[in-house]
Amino acid sequence: MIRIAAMADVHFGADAVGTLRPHLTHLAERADLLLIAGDLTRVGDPAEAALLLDELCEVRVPIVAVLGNHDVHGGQVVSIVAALSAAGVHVLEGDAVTLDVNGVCVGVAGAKGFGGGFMGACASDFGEPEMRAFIAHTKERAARLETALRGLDCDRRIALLHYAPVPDTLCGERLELYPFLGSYLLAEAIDRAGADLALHGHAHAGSERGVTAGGVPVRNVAQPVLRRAYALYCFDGARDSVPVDLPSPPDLAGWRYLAHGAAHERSARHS
Amino acid sequence: MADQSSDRDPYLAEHLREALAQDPRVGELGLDVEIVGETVVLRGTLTSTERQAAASDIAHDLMPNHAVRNETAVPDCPEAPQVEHLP
Repeated sequence: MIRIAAMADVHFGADAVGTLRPHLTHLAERADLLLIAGDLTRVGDPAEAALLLDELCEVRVPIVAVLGNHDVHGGQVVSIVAALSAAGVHVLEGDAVTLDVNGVCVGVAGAKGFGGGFMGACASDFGEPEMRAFIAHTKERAARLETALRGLDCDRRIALLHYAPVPDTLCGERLELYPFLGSYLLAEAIDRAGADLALHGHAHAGSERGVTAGGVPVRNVAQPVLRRAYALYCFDGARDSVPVDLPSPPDLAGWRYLAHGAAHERSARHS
Repeated sequence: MADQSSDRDPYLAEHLREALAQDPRVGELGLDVEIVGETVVLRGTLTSTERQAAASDIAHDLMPNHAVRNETAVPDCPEAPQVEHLP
């Protein structure tokens, strides 16, 4: 059996010292690893990360984390990652780690992810450079997540994100905020590569449980959603997580919009 | 910042919401701000009583002629987690 503890949106700072540690006392008896789905700090100050590490010092299981938007806010990502890594925390961004858990190889692929919205109501790679950059960032993070998942050769695969891959786990949030809380591109990456579980945070007013279109369970482990320090999920040993059998996505890079009409045509290199 | 009546500035609630997100004493994006007459109401969750108090201070600073009703919550985090078995 593999036991996974998961949390997100700790938003740790000096005013929280001593508040988390008591809740983690028995974590190592209940879980084999701890996954943190972003927003470890309040405003991305490396000192906050150091305080959180003090709080986690008695957690005697491997810890894997991705950063969240709060962690990048202070512009000190390198220092935060260095502090966490020096303490033995695996910090992922478009890469993966494998861990031996009771003889089962567990792989975790991680990425912060980003926003953009969900099918039927999402931003497009069109228009102003700023809007295109917004979506390009999401596409790039989703692609890196898919590559990291595909590269895992293990018994169980977990996708660790900060932003949400599905709208299910945003239920409770205002609809207007959805494009800033996640993107369907993350779910598509997970389904194309295959995974047993996807974890995220970021949506404090959302819901815990959801599922991708391909059937991968999604859990929002933001502490305000869980209303406890962490969630616990169990797998019974190894299982092959197979990618969803999806056709290849269309290559839109060569499509050119014709301003005088609604028609599209292939550019020369695709004709 | 000088106080501005919400009657004259319909955007004031959003400016306060942004201030609550950007001020490192709070640093929380998900708070709701509602202005009801001469009272500003804050709702949502924060992770410490210090941040809760800071949210009230920021609201008072930005809107000194309004009363502040801070309805934010600092949820208790019980340790005992439930276990979900996944396929």
